[in-house]
Amino acid sequence: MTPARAWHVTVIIPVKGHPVLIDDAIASVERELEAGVIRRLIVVEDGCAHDETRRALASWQALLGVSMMVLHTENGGLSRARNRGIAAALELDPDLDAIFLLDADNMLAEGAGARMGHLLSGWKEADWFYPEFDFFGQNGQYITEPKFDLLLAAEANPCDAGSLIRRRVLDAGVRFDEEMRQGYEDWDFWLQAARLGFQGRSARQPLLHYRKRPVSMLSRSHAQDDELRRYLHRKHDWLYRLPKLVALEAERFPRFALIEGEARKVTLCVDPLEPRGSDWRALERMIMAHLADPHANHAPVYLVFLREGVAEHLTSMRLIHAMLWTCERRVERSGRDMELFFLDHSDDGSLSLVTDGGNPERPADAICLSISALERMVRDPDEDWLRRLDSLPLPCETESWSIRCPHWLPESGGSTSAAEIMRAALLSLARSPWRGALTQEWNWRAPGGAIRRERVVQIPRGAVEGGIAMPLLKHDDVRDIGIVLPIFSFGGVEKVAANIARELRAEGYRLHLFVISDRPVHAEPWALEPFSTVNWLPDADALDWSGEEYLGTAEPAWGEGMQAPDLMGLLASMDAVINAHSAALHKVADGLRRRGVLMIDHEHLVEQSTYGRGYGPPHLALAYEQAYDLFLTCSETLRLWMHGNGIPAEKLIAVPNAPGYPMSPAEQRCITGFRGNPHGRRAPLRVLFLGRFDRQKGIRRLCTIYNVLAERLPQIDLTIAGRAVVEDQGQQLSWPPQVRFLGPVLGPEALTRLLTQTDILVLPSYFEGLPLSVLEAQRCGVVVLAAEAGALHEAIDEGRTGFIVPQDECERHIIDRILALDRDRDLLAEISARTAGHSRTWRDATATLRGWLQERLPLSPPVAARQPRSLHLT
Amino acid sequence: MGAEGQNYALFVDPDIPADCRNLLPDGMVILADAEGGEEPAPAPGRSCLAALVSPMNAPGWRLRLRERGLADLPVIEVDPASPERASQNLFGLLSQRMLAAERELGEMRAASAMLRREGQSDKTRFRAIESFLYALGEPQIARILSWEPTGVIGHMTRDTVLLQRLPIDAVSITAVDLWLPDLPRNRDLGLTVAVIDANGETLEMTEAYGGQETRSGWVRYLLDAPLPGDPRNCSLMLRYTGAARLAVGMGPRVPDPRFAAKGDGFDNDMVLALRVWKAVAGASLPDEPLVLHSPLGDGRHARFLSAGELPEPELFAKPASATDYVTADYWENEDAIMVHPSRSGPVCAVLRDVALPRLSHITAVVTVGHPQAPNLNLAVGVAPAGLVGRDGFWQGRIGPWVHGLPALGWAQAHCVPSEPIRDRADIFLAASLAHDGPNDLSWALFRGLRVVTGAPLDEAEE
Repeated sequence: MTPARAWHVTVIIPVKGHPVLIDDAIASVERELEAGVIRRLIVVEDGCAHDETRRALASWQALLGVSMMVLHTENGGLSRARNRGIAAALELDPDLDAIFLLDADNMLAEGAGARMGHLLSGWKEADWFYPEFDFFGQNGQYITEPKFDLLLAAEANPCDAGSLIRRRVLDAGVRFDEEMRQGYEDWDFWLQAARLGFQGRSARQPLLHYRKRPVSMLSRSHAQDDELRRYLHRKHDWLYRLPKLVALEAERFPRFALIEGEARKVTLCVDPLEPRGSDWRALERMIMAHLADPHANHAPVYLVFLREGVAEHLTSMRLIHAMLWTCERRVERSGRDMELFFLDHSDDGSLSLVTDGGNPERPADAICLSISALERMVRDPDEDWLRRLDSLPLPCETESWSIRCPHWLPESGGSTSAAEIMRAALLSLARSPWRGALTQEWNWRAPGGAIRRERVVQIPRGAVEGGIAMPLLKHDDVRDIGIVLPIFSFGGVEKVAANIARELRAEGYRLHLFVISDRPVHAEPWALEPFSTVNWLPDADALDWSGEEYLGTAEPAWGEGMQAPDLMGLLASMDAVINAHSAALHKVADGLRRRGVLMIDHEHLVEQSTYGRGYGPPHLALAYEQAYDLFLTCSETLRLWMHGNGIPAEKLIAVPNAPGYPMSPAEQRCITGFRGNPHGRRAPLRVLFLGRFDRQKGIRRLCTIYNVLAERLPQIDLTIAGRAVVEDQGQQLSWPPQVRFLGPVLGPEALTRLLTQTDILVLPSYFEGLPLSVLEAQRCGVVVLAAEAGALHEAIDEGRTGFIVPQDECERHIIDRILALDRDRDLLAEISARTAGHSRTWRDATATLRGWLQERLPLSPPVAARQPRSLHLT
Repeated sequence: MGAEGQNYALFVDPDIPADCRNLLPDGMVILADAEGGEEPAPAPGRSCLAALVSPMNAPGWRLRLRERGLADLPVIEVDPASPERASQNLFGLLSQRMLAAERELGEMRAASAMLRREGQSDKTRFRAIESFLYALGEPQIARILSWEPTGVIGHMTRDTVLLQRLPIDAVSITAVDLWLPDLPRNRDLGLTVAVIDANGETLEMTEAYGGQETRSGWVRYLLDAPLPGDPRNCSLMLRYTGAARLAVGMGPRVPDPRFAAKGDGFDNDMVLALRVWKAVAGASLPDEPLVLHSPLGDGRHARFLSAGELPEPELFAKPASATDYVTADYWENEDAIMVHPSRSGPVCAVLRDVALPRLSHITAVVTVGHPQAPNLNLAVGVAPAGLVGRDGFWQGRIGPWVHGLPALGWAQAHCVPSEPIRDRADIFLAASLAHDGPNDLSWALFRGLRVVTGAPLDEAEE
């Protein structure tokens, strides 16, 4: 409301130095007093070294009488002086409406007083008005933003301290930070105000003449820019968090334009799941407006041209975030104008990301083009070249990458390729009716420190040391948890991750999978079901193990250049991250934790070298103890080991393994009944080995065991299920002829069928954690015979629920035990019946973890677990 | 602001003996801390000279003065045993202040003299520069912004307002030309043109009527004086209160919505066709600009004809040696007539038998339509219908050529008929290449014609 009385503005001038120039400042205020809006001047003499200053103030006091008040203080810095002035203004004039902060060497513009009144009357909702940057001395007029934008303000201070500030901002307690004596205290002031919900806007008319000199407090502040920014980042961590900055980006500055199909359907987005509909004409205008005045008009920084159906398929596969993030990363890190993308069919059912595909002679499914490259192409178009853009290979230096996934059946030349879509779009821009606008200046002000809109995408990156920010928007009622693995390929660690993910999703969290290597994802459909997004950091060197060693375990050399920031950019939007054996992630774990991400490490297995030396992921985890909030172990045994090696007990939770795949209660009851009625007492024994063919699993021992058993029990049924993942030892061994090699048994149904047709599972491993195969076998009533290792004793109660044999002469012990069980079928049946249908559930196993998370990441009830979109992998 | 509220103050410690206090002037003494007294503190209009305190209270006083915003205020200790010391100190303090004030006054006088000397020197130099400018022909204005007409016409109706944001700083704007192609010869047009600056001030302009409007369609509006003040944004406002529809020429399309002309019926993405002029160094234009005067009410009528309103063009002439692509065609989607010249020479199209009673002036809005086009020359001509045969000397009927128009450039070509046009006329549209080179993409586009006739076209058509 406009007050019935006239507005009351008090001008506050802090002065230290400038004993002569203060005259110009005060004279400019004196002139404006006549308009009746500025009604008081308060000068705070901040311990100025010049007596002349005090004499000048006494002279002005004599001239201005009660319109002026002078405070003399000991030097306490600019912030303190301003705060003293603010306090005096509030105390002195109860009817104060606003203050204007004027530096001693600046001047009010002519007519500023009346304009302040107009601003206060005309823009009731605005809490402060910042002036245009009009400099004298070093003359210049710089651009200011028409409205205070928090994202832009996170990057650079858009407002001079010389602003008109309404009283309500001061009444809310916003003051200058007296610790900040080197500068940027005004920037901090506006961020404080913005945090409380106050909004600033440009006065859009001259209020202030700013004296610009080569050396000033501001120029000194710029010299200490890094240090001062660090202080601001720490103080305003509510703002300098990646999710907050990405959310601000999404409000006004869409990062991607997805241009799809021959019709050039356009969607604009940061997060592809929260798109904003548009059309090509609107995008064309947006782009031309940006090129005409890049400081005022935004256009998406990445234009992604897509063959029809590609985006939909990637979205259904939950790969669209990964695709866009990788596009952005490749364009930024390569410096190339464009990156080609192919969506290929995966023959083996795996999901993989393949890099460095060159510039092949086949039409791309998507092309990512940066706005800066587009600008070069459109400003000075070479139409001949543009017309050849659909030729193969593309007539420019480019690279390609691809995602191979199942159920993608690319059309054989039927639909319009990405290059054809891009060609048509670029020709349209080159012939745009708005091109004439590019030949004219649209802003008579110089850019100064204004932010070109294509730089906006870099602002969120500032929160993660320049890393590429995952295009994911968060919501208040959703907590995001990322599970990070170095590979995702049938292994136990992967199955555990999938089971934990399923339980956390059921709890209400949103889960994301991150694979930190370029290895393909081999997964059964249920294992990927819990994840809302599937992502890669496809750096081959994330698994090279050629870095420094800690306690004899090497790290990867990965992490050079922008690799580590990029990983932070990928993960910093998570509320919590669970690291399941990614050594690369350790390198950014502390950085993520400092950025507010709950960091959880999950350990499974202490490996053994050929000479029996322990090494592996738990050893590396010890090196990063301070970087994690919590350590999970797959067994009590490993929890004790980690504690014994230095991890505080409060930071350890055991999530003891449960069977690797889910089984319904009805199915379990069925198995219990089945094992209670065993097949013929004298039928040949059925023995199974289930696992990888490698040294760890004792494949040579198994060969010995099977050869002896074949000789002693010619009717015995010997089966091997699994395949070599790391080594290929099985091929070199001599197996008895009756051994059946099943290869990998995939899918819960096939595995259950195999186990229900098995009496004994042998596990002659040299070292183990708490193997899932043992738990799965026991649940199906299979009697387990295992060499003593890891936490097997947590699963096997010797003689009651299975047998553990010593590592020494393990082969002989296993053979003897099998021969004994062959003779004593009652014992076999008794043990089988005791385990069949019984197993720990992942719900139970994760109870403590879920409680721990709930304390730190409370879910706003009621959050129904979202049903995952189905992902069909075979 | 006067000094009515001004007063000098001496803060006095109540512990000072009364006989000492009584020596001080009443109006200046502020007895601090005594019952009914006040805290020593600054106040508006109060100039504090010193605090007179008891020696035993001096440290506490210094601390309080610092805390209350009176740091460095001289503290004079008044010892009852030797009050003359305090008196000497107080007079010493006042003498110092008076000495400093008088010295500063002297310096101010010296500074004033120095500034006057500098001012006189600047005036002398400025006078020399001014003489030089007179010698150069007295330049007064410079064109700062130019948006050429593109052949699109907007229409303002009664009581409508049109706003055009300008991408220039308001300071020194002195004149604006608008393209009003159908402007009737009527000084009571009802169009008010004003500059609105960022301060919200509306500065009305005056129409500089000089007869020019029926020749080219450009009408100039002047400010009383160039806009003074600090650099700031500005817009142009057109308010129309006339009865008939007012045709307003539009300029190029702009992608940035902030700059599209806004108003009733103007929801497209174009700017107004206009030219903005700034005064050189604050020079004012005379009320009546340097244009030809012509009598009022001479019965002229102006009308803009878009390409679609004209007859289909025919290829009229091309160089005999031309073997490259030439054409004359109407492009419906562009609403333009395209004349494609030859590398061998100019190509001319004809629009036959157009009713143009007593035509006195014809203006073609032209553009080079393709971004890859070479620079082109364009011209318009007119002759009584049927006068020029196929092999006739059409060049003699053509007005001055617009030379070397670059790709996507806009201009206007003019022609005054060399023979009187009584009723109907043939219009010639000619184009040629500005340089010797391939004629690929030489899209010479004629977007429309502005004609000034002796009778309204509507009547002629009837």
